[in-house]
Amino acid sequence: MSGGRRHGALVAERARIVAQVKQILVERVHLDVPPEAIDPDAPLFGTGLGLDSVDAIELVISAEQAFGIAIPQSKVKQSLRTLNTFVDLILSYERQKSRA
Amino acid sequence: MTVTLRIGDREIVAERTGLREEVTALRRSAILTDLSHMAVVRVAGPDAYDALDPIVAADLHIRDGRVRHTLFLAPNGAPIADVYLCNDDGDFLLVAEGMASGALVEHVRAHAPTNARDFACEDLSTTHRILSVDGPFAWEVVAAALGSELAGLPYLSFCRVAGAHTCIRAGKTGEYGYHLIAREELAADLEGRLLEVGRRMDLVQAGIATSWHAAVENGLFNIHRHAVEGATPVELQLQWRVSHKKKYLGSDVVVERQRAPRERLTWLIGEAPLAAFAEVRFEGERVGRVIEALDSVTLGAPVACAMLDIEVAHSGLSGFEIGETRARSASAPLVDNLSMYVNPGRHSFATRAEIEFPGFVRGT
Repeated sequence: MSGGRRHGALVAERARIVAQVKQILVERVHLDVPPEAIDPDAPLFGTGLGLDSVDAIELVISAEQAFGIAIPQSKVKQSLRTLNTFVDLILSYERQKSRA
Repeated sequence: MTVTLRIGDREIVAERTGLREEVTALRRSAILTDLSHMAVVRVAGPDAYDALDPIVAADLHIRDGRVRHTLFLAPNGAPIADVYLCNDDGDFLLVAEGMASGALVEHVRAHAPTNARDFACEDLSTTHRILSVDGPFAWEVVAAALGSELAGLPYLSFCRVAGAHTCIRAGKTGEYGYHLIAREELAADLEGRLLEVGRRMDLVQAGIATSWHAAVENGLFNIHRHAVEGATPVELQLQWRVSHKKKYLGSDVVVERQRAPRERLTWLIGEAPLAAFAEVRFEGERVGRVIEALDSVTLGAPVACAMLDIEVAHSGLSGFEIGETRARSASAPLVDNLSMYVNPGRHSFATRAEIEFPGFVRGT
């Protein structure tokens, strides 16, 4: 695949997952922010998007269902920093699945 | 080997003992920094809320004792002040960077509605100092110096301590942080007390460059370095700091940019040192420019934040070129923070070896 097409495919792959996680944040976690106003690198907790521990559980469970993956507890703290870090984790699982 | 720099009309300590030692202490124990360059203004009176509401970019409904981290914007949507807004029993305490206290007072007065003039602004920066304690064991230092209840102070809240100081739990380093606002005549004693008790937590005195270094490592906004001309909270990934429901000074531009963003601040990790302000290319085409670059002490790698065209402003892309150097985009924060794994109810500096910490490199 040429560099340009590969870049396009990577961006599209990531954009799809970002859009799905934003949908989970709005529809399942009930984040009162329009999707276009969710910065990919905004902190999820505390300041930032202001999620709490209950929201974290809903986010993880909903993502597991939406993407057909199982996220171990050991990965949660490191991956749930921002939307982007959570998408990084989901992407890594999706790529593992596609290689299997 | 103290290094200083000028912010406004103040000479500020940038480094005290050396950046590497100070950043290492920030990430592993705690640092003490004088942040007295920050503006501190109290807005009080029956119309304080109505006077501030048009210029505060976030929802001004804050509970007493709580803090909102927000921005003041110019009419063109550009951030002009990075503001901690504290509700102090109906008065508002503003602790800000990017504007001097005098300019902050003038800004409030200039934009107060004509029917909201019954308020007073008091500039506290001339009579107070701000000492900040930051780090994974900063809570232990302030608790030992000023009272154990501070270990439980929630993030973005504040309280009075020792009958004299205001302690705001906040920070811009990714670690536990406490801004202590002390009257000038009491500040030296407070500083001495913090240094004395902090010795057993390996507290290090640091300069402002340490916090700025940490901000890049953690993907945090630094108004002194990242307020790019023409950039609004949309491009700067600061939409979480502004309301999407209310109108405020600059909101029209923010709403317009949200419809079709053209560029975005993105974090890069380089294979070799990266040059600040350099052009960024991707697949042979110019796609943006570096805003700030440094050699990350915590990561042990060159990192940068760059304003990139929206088509490539995504994490996880390789092949960026900055001069002769290649770089890849990465998700912020670029480092993992020990503070995320420290629980003041269970841990201490003395028993830190027992903390299950996966390491500073997040593996992106």
